[in-house]
Amino acid sequence: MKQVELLILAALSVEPAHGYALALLIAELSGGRVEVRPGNLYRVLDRLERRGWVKEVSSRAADEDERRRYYQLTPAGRHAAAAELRMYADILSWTRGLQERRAGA
Amino acid sequence: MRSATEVRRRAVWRLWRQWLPAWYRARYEWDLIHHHIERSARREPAPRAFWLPLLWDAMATGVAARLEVRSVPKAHTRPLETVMYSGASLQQLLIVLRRLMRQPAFALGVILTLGLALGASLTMFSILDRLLLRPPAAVEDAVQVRRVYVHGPTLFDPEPVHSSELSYPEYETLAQVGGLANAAAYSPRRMTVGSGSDAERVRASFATASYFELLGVRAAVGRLLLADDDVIDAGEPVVVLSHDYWRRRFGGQRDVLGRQLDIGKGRYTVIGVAEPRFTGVDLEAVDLWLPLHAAGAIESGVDWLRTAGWSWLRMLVRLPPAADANTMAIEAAASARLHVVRESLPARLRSGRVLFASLIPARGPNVMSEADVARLLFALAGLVLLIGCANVVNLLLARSARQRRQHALQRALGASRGRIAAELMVEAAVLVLFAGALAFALAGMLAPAVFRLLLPDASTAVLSVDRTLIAAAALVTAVAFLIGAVPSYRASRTDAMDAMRSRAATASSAWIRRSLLFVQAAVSMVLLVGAGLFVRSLQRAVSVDVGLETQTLSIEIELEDGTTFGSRLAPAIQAARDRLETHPSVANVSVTSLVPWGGGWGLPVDVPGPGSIEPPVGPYFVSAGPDYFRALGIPVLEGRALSADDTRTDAEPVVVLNEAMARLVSPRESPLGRCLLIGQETDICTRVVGVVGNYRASLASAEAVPLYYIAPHHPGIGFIAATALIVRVHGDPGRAVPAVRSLVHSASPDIRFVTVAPLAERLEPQLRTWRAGAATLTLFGLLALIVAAAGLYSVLAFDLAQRRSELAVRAALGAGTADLARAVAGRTLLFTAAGLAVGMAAALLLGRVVQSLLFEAPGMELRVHAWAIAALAAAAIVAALGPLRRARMTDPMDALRQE
Repeated sequence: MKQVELLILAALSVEPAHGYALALLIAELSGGRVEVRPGNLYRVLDRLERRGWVKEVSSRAADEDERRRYYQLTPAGRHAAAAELRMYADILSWTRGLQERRAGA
Repeated sequence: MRSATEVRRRAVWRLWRQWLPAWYRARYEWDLIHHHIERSARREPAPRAFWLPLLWDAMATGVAARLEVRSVPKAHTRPLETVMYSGASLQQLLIVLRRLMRQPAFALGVILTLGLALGASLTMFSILDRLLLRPPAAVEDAVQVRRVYVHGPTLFDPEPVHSSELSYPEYETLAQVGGLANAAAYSPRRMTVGSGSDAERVRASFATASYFELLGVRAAVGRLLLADDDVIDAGEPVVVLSHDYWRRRFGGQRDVLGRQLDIGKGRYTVIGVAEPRFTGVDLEAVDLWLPLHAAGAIESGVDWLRTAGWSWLRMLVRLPPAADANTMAIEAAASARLHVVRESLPARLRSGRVLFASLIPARGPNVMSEADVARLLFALAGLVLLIGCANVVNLLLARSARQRRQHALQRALGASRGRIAAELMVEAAVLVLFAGALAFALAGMLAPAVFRLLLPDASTAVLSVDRTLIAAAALVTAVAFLIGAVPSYRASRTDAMDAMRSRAATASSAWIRRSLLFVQAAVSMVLLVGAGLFVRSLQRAVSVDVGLETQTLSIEIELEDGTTFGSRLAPAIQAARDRLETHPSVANVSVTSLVPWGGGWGLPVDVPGPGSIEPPVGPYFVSAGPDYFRALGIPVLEGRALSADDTRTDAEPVVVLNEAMARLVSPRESPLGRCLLIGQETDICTRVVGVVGNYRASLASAEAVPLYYIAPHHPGIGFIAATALIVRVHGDPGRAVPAVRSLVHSASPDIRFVTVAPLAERLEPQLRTWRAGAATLTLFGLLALIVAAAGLYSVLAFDLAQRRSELAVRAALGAGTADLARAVAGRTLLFTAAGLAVGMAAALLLGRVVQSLLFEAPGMELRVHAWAIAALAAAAIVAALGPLRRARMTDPMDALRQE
């Protein structure tokens, strides 16, 4: 799983969002350090959708344009994101243990 | 009017759209546009700079989207469809049929290969069936009917032979032997029917009244022969027609009953037509039957009919139903009676044993070379079938190897091994079924043609459809199992993971392919060598020097009253001779009492000194005119030939001997001037005045029969009537035949029928086996060659396709063409060469076995073997060229990418 994918999944786990909102969300979560280009964003969304981790829903609000697509995390996507985050956490704990051993040695 | 900004904007949009792939635009164009709108609304970028990030984004996205592999990989075939059936066989059949139709080249290749190979086998089977298995048509319970043979020495041969001909007294006595249900006799001969322009030669048969009754043949129209018809001096002798002849000559009209026909010397009334399929009990079809006693008396006179010295009757007996145990006893009783009858014959001819053999002539005690050749051809057709099957197994293996992924997927999805195997068997069965239909049609066309080559005189109702159909069905089943077994077994054992990887060929399947190629190469070699040997035999037989000029024409005359020999023929013969002498295209003409290879008349010859000569065979005498030896091209070796002076009635009797006779008369010195006493109890000295060259007794034996030539008037013998003329023409004899025939016919009004033919025609039957063998074997050999070459090609092409990546890497690493060729084809060609070597050895062994069928040939002939090797090597090179060239032209990157 690429970093962008993980970021998108993580952003979508907060709430379903449409494309621009997603980009803003990601920028906010990363503290302005990650900026997803629009073309890339939709390409990755397409990939995530094919894998079955993200699905499209149409806008629920009455006044919104029908064509605006909202993206939502699927249970499979949630699991995948969670697994990926767990992996990062494990790596972090290993490296921390290593650092402590170094410090101690 | 649009503003500059507007124009620029539109241009930017168009550029932007071009960068993005179509699918992307279709899905996300709206989102992108609005994304940019919202973004630009927030950021408020300078109008100038807004399009830069847009384009940059579009470019990046476009490239990334295009590089990304988007589609889900689909299987090349549709495995689910073949697995998720409910197991009904009809559905399975339809699936198989659909799959075959999607690969027409493969299916056609298999059907053609198998069809041709099966066709060859079926053709030979139906011929063998006709020759060896099927009794004559329309004979009731043919197993109980036997032919009578006598095993003993004959007039012509001191070695005992099985003779199927008996004399009349012998027949009479044997017919009364106890234990026989029925006995009959018949004698086939050619006779002339009608006169003038209507005259035609037919195959007639004398038959006793019991003949039709014994065989259980019925009449289609009218009635058949009865005892009352078969008496000597019957008031109105009768004739029975065969169904074919009745249709041919009388158009199947029923008013043929009661018609009178001039046959031979007599006039006969038609009393009936035999049932449709009956054509006699020999291979040659009979056109009409005449009562033996009545007609025999008319044609040859009563004395000739009853003489003990002339063996001319063929005898049939019917054994009673449960007679197996008693057959030997009946034979023994018959033999005893035979000795009694033969008391009056010379001592050496008195012994003999009676034998009851099968009604089918080819299964009798005598060797029938046509049957032997047919058997050989059948065995070889079997070999061709083997090659065809080997080829098809290779093709099927190659195909199933390509389908390994599919099979592995099926197995993974739950299909059982049996199901996969069954599907491949069904596929094989369908292919073989189509091939069988093709083969049946082929055999229907080829069998009569090959049969006519072997036996031109036999009736050509060859194919018994039901038996050949059964044979075809049996063959088809066997072949289907044979070719389906190996591929389906291998396919069912496919391991899933192995197959999912791209390298599909394994070492063991390659070994099978190469062994099959080995077998094909060996068998092709055997067939080609066999064909070569027969062709050489034929060449030698056709061009052998028999000792005389075979293009010389012989002329036989039949008078209106049926006379074919004797003193009554003399005026007509003389008139014909005079006419022929004056014709410009006639080089030499002579009268004679004996046409070469036309039988023989012998008389004892006494040589004062060595004693009487009564050698085993001959000597025969020939009365010859002056031009005889020149007409026949026989060289005069010593002394002189007979001259016109010798034919005067008051001339001194002289004789000319051939070499064989000369050696008998005077072994150590020249016989010229010696005195011979010819004929019974004479003291007239016939002086030897010349010695002439020998000619062969037959194509097969280089031996010559001792002959002596005398003038037509001879004091010791009387007048020896001429029975024929010998004519040598300038130019092409074939074209001269009709002219000569009409010339002779017009020489005398008494002449009813004239038979003109080159002497070579008398040797033609002896050439038949070699002709048939050469033609059929060449056909089989070429077939085998083509099939084997196609097999080699397919194996090499398959190997190449499997190893493309390996070859590409080698080529990239600098391997030359030769190295590549060796890599692809090396082991395969090695196996092929080994097969050729083994085939050569087998051919040498078999050559010794078939030597008896060849003409004066050693079993091994270097030229033939060299030609066979050359042909096969050429075929192998041609077959290998295609795949090798393709190997050389493969682009390495292409091959690697396809992995």
